[in-house]
Amino acid sequence: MAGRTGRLLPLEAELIACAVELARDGAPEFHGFAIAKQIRDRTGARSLTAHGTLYKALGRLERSGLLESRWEEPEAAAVASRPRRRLYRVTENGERELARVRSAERQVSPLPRPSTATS
Amino acid sequence: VTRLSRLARRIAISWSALYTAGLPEEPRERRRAEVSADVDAHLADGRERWERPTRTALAVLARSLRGVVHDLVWRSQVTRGPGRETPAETRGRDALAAALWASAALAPIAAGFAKLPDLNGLARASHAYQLSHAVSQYPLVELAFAIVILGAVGTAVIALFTLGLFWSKTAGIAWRSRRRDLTAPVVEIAASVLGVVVAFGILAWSYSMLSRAQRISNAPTPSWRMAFLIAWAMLCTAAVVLVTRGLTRLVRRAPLDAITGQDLTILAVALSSSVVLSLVGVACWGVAMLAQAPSALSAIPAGGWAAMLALVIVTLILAVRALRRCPLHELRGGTSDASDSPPALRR
Repeated sequence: MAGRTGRLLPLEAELIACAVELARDGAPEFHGFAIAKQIRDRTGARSLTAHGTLYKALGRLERSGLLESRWEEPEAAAVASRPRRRLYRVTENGERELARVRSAERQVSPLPRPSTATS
Repeated sequence: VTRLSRLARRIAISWSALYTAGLPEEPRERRRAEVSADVDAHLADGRERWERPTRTALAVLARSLRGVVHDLVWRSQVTRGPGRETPAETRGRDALAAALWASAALAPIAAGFAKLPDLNGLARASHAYQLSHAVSQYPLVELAFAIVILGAVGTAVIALFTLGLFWSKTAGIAWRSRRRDLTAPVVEIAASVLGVVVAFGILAWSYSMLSRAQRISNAPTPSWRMAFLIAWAMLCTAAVVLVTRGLTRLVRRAPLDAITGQDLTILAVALSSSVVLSLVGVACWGVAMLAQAPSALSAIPAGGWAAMLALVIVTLILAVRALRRCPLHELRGGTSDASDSPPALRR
């Protein structure tokens, strides 16, 4: 079998796009629920992305080098009296990949792609 | 924090504890902590927005429920090693999961009518529903029976579609290497039609078996009938398990790099069509029943109607989602070769 190649899934592209938007709004790092909310708001979906779908996508993007992550400082979580969050950030590769995907989409079809953000 | 919110949080966290059990420490603890933090953030967000706690709790539960398939797939990936799933595989699994959900949703609808059809039923009205009459004194057994049988048939149909897709893809690639004027979609559509024919053959065969089984179900004592039904249900369950396992292995081992979004579009359209056809079939079935036994419908309680309506809606939503998932823009683009795909996400 040839090398296993692929493309960004619609949810993954949407996820990176939302993360880039958050970064532009001054939040370069995001946690799972925040990005789920952003995706819902951006796509106009009624429901938030499911836990399993979201964290599987985040994990895959991180393994692909399009996202990087770290645990939140324990003090920050303790002050807010909540569990520690895993914070993600889009890498330069991630931004490049998103730009490439968007460019390829425009070449393939002039129509906007259907929203598939939630599972 | 209401009781329902606490319950929703507990269910979501318990589910994450369950599907991560036995995994290596790093992925296990990370997933559990992420889900826990997510659920807390979700509930806190609902409080900040003055959302009704019940609504927030139900949303948390829905997110857990909708992610079940991906949770299990993720566990499977962690167990067998990272980095082996391609986007095509993920799409295939999504389409498959939607179709399985739809099949599972259709079965109780049919069970709601509390009858199993006989192909010759219209001609032999008085004997058409002997089997269901024999079972009707055990409503739960009847329900399980219908779910298992229709689940088995649905899974077999889906398996055939998937198999047809992979086979036709392989055949199409081989064919085009000699005759470049034949496009892959032509081969795939032909294979899908063949798949439908074979699937209906299997359906007819299973109904024929059911007709024969009626003789057994006419056994003199209820305990014999019960024993027969349990044995039949176990057989069908085993068939469902085996087919599902075989299908999963097939999806894992197939040369998925050669499967493009276009192929999955065709698969999704075929699956959605089968769901719609099934719904139409169930509706015709109900009308036929009503014509033969008008009292049967009046025997269905209001809760049963509500459940059936809910299942119809869920099924339609799943069918629409299955269609929306598929990358229709790729069909318009007309690319079908894996070599056309821009390389990305090399792992």
